Amino acid sequence: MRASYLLGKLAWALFTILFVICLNFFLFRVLPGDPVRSGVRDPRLTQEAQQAIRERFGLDKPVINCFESLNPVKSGPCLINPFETQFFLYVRNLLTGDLGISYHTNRPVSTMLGERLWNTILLIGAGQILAIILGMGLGILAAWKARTPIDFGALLFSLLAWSLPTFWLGIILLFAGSRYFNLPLGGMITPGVNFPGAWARVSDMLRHMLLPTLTYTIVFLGEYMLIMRSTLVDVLSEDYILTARAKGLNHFQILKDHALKNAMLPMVTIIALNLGFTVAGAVQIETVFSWPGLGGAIFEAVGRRDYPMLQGAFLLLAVSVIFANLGAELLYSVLDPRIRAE
Amino acid sequence: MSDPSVSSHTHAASVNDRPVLLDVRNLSIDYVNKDASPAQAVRELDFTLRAGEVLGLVGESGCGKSTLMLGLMRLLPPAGRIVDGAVYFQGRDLLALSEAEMEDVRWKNISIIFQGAMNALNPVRTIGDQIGEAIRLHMPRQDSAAVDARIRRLLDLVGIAGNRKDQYPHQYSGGMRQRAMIAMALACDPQIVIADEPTTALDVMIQAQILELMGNLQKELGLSIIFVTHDLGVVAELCDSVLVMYGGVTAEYADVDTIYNAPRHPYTQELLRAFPDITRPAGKLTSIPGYPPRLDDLPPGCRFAPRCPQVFGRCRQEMPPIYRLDDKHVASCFLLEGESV
Repeated sequence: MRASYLLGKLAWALFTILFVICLNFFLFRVLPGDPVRSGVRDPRLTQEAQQAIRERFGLDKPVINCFESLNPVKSGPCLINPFETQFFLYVRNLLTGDLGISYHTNRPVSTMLGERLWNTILLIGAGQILAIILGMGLGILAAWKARTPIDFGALLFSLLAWSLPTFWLGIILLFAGSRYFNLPLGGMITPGVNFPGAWARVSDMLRHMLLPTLTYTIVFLGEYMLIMRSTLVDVLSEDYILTARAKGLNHFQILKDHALKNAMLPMVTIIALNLGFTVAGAVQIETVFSWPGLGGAIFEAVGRRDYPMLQGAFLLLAVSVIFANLGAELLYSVLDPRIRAE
Repeated sequence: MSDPSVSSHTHAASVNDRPVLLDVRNLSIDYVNKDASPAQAVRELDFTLRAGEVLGLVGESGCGKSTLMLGLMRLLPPAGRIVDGAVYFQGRDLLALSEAEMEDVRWKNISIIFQGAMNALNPVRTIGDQIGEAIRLHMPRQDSAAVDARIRRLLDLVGIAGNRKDQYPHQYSGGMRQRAMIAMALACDPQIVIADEPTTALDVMIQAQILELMGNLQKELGLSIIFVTHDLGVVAELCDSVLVMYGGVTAEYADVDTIYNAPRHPYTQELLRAFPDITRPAGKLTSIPGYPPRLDDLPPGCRFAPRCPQVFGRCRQEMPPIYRLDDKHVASCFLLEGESV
């Protein structure tokens, strides 16, 4: 029963990924604009040179055999060899792990995504972990002191933090941090510096990380706090909490042994969803702090009609969201015996 | 069925010689409300519970029964305040204890069985784990094998197979959950078990089973039980004495024979008239017209006056005191004024 549950979930995840692959491919091709024209910003480019670029990237081939409106080559519907279409080549290359070559940099998309991905995971991972710990802690405190000034203060702070525009908070922190604490204005590491040792390098990077991480933490902390508080307040009014009190357990034991495990269920969902989107990076934060992450890469690629880069990034994003959800569902079944039984 | 009044009479007589376990004196509980005057949920309540005694606490919904029980264990919701009185358990006033001392009394000395309808068991922990938690908390010098054996023995006592201890509440039927709750209530050998409408929301067959189980356990273990119910049949079968509450105050308090055979308060009389008696020829059942009073909007005089068939002028102006009719029979009604001893 356990294995079939797991297999069913995995099959669904795979099906969703296949669907996303198809959607990703067409999504960018129905956008108006020509990758060759927007990629090479030179009006004097000859027709022959343009054609050469098209051939190099396979853009001369029909997108798919039956949709004439999507095809640059007018040869009538359904007469094209389906194995000679862009879609077929894309899927075939994908199956061999080849995400294509960026139109803009001529480098493999997988390499480019890889570089950006780790920067994003470093920044957003640190921010998420801090936000989860602080948000849950604050939420537990507020729920425990519900309807007291402590609760009120924590609520006010969280609502404020949650509703602040990310870019605005980033700019304010950037201003304050660089003006009063002499923190770097952007980037990931001070350029052109020969660091005497590994520690100096790490500490330079940590100084660069501080402000964007702080921004990210504040933005997400509010959400976690509010959800933790409201779930826990609900759980604490449940009958089994009264039973636990009647059994002579003290406040701490009730919280630890009876309330938290029940309250964690919605938290797991929201954390998993956010972790999935982590890979997309916080576009706003990465832009404000010039952090070389994935969010910024997506933003740039849209402007350049860099289809392979966009497809790769969106695929990565979709896969991470799908797997984060899968992880949440599996974790759910560990936390809640009622789900395990189904 | 044998006549319950005969058997319980002899039982009641023997109970009266036993030591007093719980002595509740003049207990008053309010629910405070920021915008209005406090709701008087319980007023000047007195009763005693002896070792091995089963006390029935009877009254309509909303008359303060559950509030009184939660008050005894100091488990009232935040708005609930004990404004007056004392609760002596084996001579110790529970209301004067610190919270830590009270935590020690809960479940070890006084445990409580909640309504079957309530979600009183934690859905994400196994039944055995939840019973074991109480054992480990109050009987700390036991190794895990001993705790395990005790859990199995307790489940066996209520008719649940020991190997079901590792299952979760949702894998139990409603009746089994209530049995498990009873097993949990007995986990630390308490002197007193409060049963707060333990059979509500169970179907009639299961109700009968649970009641039989509780009756047997009471005799076997010599428990003192406070049985909160609005089922007078349960009271007749299980209880030694009966406290009839109305609108947060005592209407009548006596042993079970007196309540059934010679009730003096009009409310008790009306309650009994509203209940079928299979030993007598079929008569007409009556209901008491009207509703119990809202606790934040009490009538100025006797709280039963608006519904009382024998009401007269004084009832609407003054609250009747509690008249002692004999050694163990009290009632609060002006009709009994001259009979007080």
